[in-house]
Amino acid sequence: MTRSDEYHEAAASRNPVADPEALVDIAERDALVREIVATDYPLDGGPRHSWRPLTYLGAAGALLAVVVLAYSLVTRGGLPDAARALASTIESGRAILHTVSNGPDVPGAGRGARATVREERWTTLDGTATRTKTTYRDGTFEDLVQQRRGRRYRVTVYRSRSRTVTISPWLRVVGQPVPADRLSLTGARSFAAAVRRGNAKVTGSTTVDGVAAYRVEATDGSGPSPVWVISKDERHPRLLRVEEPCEQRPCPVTRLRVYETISDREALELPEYRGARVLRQR
Amino acid sequence: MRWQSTPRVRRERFAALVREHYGAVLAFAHRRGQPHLAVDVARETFVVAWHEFAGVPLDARPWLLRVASGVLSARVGGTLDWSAVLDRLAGLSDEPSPAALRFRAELDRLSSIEVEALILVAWDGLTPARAAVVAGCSPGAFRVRLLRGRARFGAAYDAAQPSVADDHSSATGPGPE
Repeated sequence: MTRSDEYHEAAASRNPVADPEALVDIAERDALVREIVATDYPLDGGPRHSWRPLTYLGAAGALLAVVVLAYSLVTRGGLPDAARALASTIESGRAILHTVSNGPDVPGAGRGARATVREERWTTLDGTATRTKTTYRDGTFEDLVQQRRGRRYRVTVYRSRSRTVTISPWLRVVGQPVPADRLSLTGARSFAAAVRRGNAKVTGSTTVDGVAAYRVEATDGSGPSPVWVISKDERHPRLLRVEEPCEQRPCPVTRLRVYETISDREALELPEYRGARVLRQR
Repeated sequence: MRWQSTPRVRRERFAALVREHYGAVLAFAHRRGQPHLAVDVARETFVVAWHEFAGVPLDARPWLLRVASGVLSARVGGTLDWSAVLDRLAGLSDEPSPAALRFRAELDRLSSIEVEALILVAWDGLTPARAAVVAGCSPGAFRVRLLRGRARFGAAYDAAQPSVADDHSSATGPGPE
């Protein structure tokens, strides 16, 4: 036995009540039970439920406010700040929009060698210059630069398969300007325009690769609208995905892996491809 | 634990609670030198238990003794006089020996929280973790109190061992039992 145990034993041996049950008067104890259980039991369970009516009222009011806010956000065209910030970025100044996407991806389709597996794009937000580098499943790629001057445009394209650079003459735009892009800028512009006109609304929330996002759709009723999936980050909002409208499902989905604005104008020019034949069209 | 149930079941469970712990609550007051208050303390403790029955934990003993401690403190005006407890720990009798008196004097070195820690374990039979609930502190803090209490009690115990002179003055060896 250690000294500590010895001290404990010494203290314990001086316990004035070695057997508590010896103190119990059973009749007295049972009478106490009867007396106590005859009193009202607090059905609210005691302090855990001791909210006063005003507290309940306040909680109900707060809950109602949250519901109204969420409802107005989702169904009344209220747009989160992230969506407005993104639209402003898209429509602002001479910045260059840089995106990397998987191209239009239709599940179950596009398995051939020419299917697009990567599409990198630089485009001025005013649409005057665009460069698109499209990589195909077989590893070949096309690097296309389109420049516009007023109602004229010129296309320069490098094709890795033929190792040629084809330069078109300056062509006059007939009718509407030819869209220089298919998805990312078109999607971004249409999104920005819809927000500016007040024709966009949040239709739900989702996550893309773990990033919390809103689903935004146009509300002008002019026809099928793409679904723009934008991140909830208000400081650096990103377009994460564009779900194209289509007749037959599943519809094409463009997943944007890079979405940023840059100011480096060299990105809009075709780089030097050594050994490429230059073909000038007339 | 939430003992939300039908009124009949609730009454039966409460009766079982009282049967199991009534003696311990009485003894709690007795051990703190307040036998005349024991029945009242037990009554008030179980009234509180009935009103807060849904919140009584499964291990009810520490919770009940914590309530009993509060009731007892309120009954004695806020501060419990631990001298009777120290007298008992020193083994004082009507005719105390010099060694017992010396032991009692040494025990005055213990603070009230150390005495409480000591008797919660030694007399009330609680483990340090359960006793911490009664003392209203963390298990770690309680262990420190207990350690100090035992160390001081041990020092007093050792210091009060009967000397040769005591043996001559007292035939019964009145030192620590």
